[in-house]
Amino acid sequence: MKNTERSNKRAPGGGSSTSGSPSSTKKADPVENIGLAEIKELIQLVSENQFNEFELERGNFRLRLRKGGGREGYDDLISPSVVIENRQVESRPSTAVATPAVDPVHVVEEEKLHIIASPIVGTFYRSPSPTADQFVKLGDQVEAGKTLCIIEAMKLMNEIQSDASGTIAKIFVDNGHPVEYGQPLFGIKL
Amino acid sequence: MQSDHTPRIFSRGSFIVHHYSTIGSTSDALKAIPDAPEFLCIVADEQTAGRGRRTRSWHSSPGDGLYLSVLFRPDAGSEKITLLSLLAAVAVAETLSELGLQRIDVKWPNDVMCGDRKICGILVEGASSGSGDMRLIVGIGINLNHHGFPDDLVSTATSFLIETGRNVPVDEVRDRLLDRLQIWYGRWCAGKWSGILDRWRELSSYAKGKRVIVTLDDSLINGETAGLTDSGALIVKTDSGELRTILAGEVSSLREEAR
Repeated sequence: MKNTERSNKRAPGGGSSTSGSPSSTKKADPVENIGLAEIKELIQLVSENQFNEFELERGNFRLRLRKGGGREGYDDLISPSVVIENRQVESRPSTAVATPAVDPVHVVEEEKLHIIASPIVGTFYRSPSPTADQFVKLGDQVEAGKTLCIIEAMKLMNEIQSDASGTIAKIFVDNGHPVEYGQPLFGIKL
Repeated sequence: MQSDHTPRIFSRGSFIVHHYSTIGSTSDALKAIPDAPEFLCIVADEQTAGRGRRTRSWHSSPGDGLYLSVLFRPDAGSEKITLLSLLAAVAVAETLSELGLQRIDVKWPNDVMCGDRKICGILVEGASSGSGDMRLIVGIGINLNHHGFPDDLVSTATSFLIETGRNVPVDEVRDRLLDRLQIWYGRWCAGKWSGILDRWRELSSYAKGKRVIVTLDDSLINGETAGLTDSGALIVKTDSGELRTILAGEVSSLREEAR
């Protein structure tokens, strides 16, 4: 599956910003997915040195770190051209992406999504019964308190409600599949 | 006779009981009260829209059975929340045993059986946003004074009357059950989880060494039960020797399956 999420995150205080986008013109180098630890090191490097901007491109992954972006930089981030195509990014919960938000430089890998995680281990259902409509679909507007799914374990049907209002931007699990405690279920764009 | 919309209200231990003559579903009625306090209980002589797992219907003929839902508000963060599902079956099994029912069994996770026929169904529905307390509704339907069942249930369902040859006052079962639920929920709140699992194992032939078929959404597992996890999941040793932990799905004994 291809991840086509747009990404934006801001460091507290609106300092500097970075963005990533796919390489469309680069020749086909062997793809090396960049790790979170490596990104953290790069942030550190840019923070501590005189660079205003730093760009890294590997295979289909491109990362740009920029200092002093302010509001203008933020607007860049949410433009439709900011797209990451990188499977490794997809498999990483976006809550974890918030970790490297070191001021004044901040990495943006995924859209700023509010994550609804599973409070229990169980089976994920998107509808109240096999023949019923799904509780929510991608793109739906939801209010806090809206039921998003059911997690079943030991015949305890646990309705998971949204604790935020926004748009369903990501559904991480397929219907009928098992989920672990704390596993991301939905990403909500606030 | 009570009117449909005016419940008789009384207390039993910690529970505040609203007793209706007829209602759609006791669990749905409880769900419709957003600020319902813990230990609110809705009972009905008849349900017109009783339901089980994944909205399957539940046969609820008037006056024959006990149809009851109670609200608990446990800590949503507790990893042992699923034990509340097994706990409800323990409370029902003990209640029916006190009243003289023999051959009681508990089919994983919470069907109360008499022999290999079902006498009680339990559906536990929680609603939470992952923090604070959760609304947990335990819906219980017990077949008490049914003389018989519709054709589609006749080979799989039974009642207290069919098994013992005598009627039992529904209100007495209700009161005894609420007492049992209060005791066991108190133990759960006090963290006495191993006691709940131990009691379940005592009451259930499914705890260990039972030949079963587990029906999942897209597959079947054949094997033998090999215990419970700390959260009440069923461990099944498959015919190929693999240990599978079952969190959801329908468990049937091979004898049931042969019918």
